[in-house]
Amino acid sequence: MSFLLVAEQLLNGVQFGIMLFLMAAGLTLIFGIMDFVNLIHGSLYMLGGFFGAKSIELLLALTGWEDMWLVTLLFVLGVILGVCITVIVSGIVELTIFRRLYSGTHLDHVLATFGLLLFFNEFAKILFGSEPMNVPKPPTLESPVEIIPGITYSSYRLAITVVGVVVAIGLYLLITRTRIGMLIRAGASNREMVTGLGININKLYTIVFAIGAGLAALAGVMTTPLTSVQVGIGEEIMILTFVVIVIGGIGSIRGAFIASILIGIIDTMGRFLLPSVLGYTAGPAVASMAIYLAMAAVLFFRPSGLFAAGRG
Amino acid sequence: MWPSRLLFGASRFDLRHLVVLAGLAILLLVPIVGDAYVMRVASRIVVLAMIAISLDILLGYGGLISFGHAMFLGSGGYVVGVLAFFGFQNGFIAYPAAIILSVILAGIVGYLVLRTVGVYFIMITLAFAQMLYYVANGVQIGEDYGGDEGLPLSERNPLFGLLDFGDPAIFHYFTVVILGVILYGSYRLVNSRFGRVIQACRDNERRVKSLGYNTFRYRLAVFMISGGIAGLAGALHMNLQKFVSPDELHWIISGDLLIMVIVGGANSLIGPIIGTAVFVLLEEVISNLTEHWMAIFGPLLLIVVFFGRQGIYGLIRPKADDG
Repeated sequence: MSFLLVAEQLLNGVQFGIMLFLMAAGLTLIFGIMDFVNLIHGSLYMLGGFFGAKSIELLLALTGWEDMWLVTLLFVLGVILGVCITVIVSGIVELTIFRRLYSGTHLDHVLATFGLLLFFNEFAKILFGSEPMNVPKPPTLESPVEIIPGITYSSYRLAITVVGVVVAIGLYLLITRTRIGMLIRAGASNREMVTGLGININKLYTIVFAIGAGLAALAGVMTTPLTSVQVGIGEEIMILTFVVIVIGGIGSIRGAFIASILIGIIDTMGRFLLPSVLGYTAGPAVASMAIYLAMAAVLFFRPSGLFAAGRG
Repeated sequence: MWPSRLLFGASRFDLRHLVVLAGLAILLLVPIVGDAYVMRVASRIVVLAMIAISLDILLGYGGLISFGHAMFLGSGGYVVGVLAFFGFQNGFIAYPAAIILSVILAGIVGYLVLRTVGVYFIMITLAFAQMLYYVANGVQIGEDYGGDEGLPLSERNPLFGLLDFGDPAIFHYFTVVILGVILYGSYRLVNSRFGRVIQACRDNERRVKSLGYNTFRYRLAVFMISGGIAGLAGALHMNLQKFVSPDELHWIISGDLLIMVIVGGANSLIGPIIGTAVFVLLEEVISNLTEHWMAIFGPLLLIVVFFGRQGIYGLIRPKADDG
């Protein structure tokens, strides 16, 4: 096994971790601030993928452009469209349904969002069909690039990693440097106090939910050229996101970031390394288990995660 | 009408007696009047009702929202399947083994998940069930068994030839009897001193702690009991279908089980049975009408959340009575 292959897989792990972070950042805030059990975060990832893929497909068909830079531009436009449509859908859901649920119990949240998840799965099946939907990578990002002399890497993966990191930095600045970010942090630590100080908590909830939906959709669209999008794809990544949040600590963006990268690397490296060590039957099984074992270990020593919010 | 009187302790006749007696009559009559399809649906309701009751002991009485109860449907089924693969067909071995191993599994999982509460608990039970889903998917036995292929069962576990389980009617009556035993045992459990402590933990854990109870141990015990009942249900489910696969462990099943309990009425023992019956029948009816039955069923759940908080059982329960 060459060093190059290991380095490539390590980078894939980081890339996957960044995508997980885009999912986890929003969800950990929704759990932390709203104390709301949200099972449709994976559906938003899936819807983002579908809306984005369809937008790109339609844009390419409508314009008929073939110049590689123009096609890339259309790709970016499609990604933005996919994210915007998903944010609008999630906004409608938040305003009409979730708003009435916040005062309910966790059980209400689970039941209602589970129902919505089933609905969105069928909705996507009716709208986009049950076949996987694929989008070609933008032509400018098709060939691998040399990142350091001697090591080449998929330029598309590198690009979405960069986008993810930029978004993460933007989110960090938003959370730490702006008034709205201050309110979000305050909400994650002590919700009653924020309402007590006269902040319109409903507006804050809508903003947090919309940010979360946008990030999930972004991850969904950007991953589509790598894995294609199909019904049910969001659930698997949602459960992984739960693991990330449990490890990182509910309400903690920093925890979500570290845990995402950790899980991304463990998952990718496990799938890559363990089969060659343990054989092709036990290897993949142990690899799939690895992240849950990591979660169990964290739970054993730190039941509320590595960086639980509200604990200073 | 002693069975319903035993459950409700009420001497006055109310709607609940009628529902319980009607349900019992239907379950007993199905093998006589129904065809093979109807009987399989009825047996499925009986077996799933057991696991719904076990979940409600956690959820309604213990206040612990487990989103991973399908793991026990799987553990019970896989114990039966693996034992059969190695030639242990006897039901007196298979059923106790399924219960014991499910209790042990619940002990290990419970020890980790019960250190957390609220949203964490929901997510972590889900995550552990998902881990077992991957285990079931990955572990192969021999060349063609296990993995995503699942495990078959050539014949239902015999009980020394006492009962002929080749006849689906006899197996159906067997599951009805087991359901009755579980129902009675659960009734005794939730009304015992132990059950009172569990319910007190749900209502105010801090107060129970200050009374000197080790709430963690009580919760772990109830988690293990619930897991054991669910494991037995899993073993019976495997016997009913003569097949177990990772699908039994899928997290959607855990969600379905939660729906059965809540739609039927949590914090009651009859509610989960009603909920299971309604869920399974709806699934059969709507899925025959349209392949997109989830598009109808999902919004139905929203309606339940907004308008039917007490579940179906809440509709037939007398207002003054909270038993």
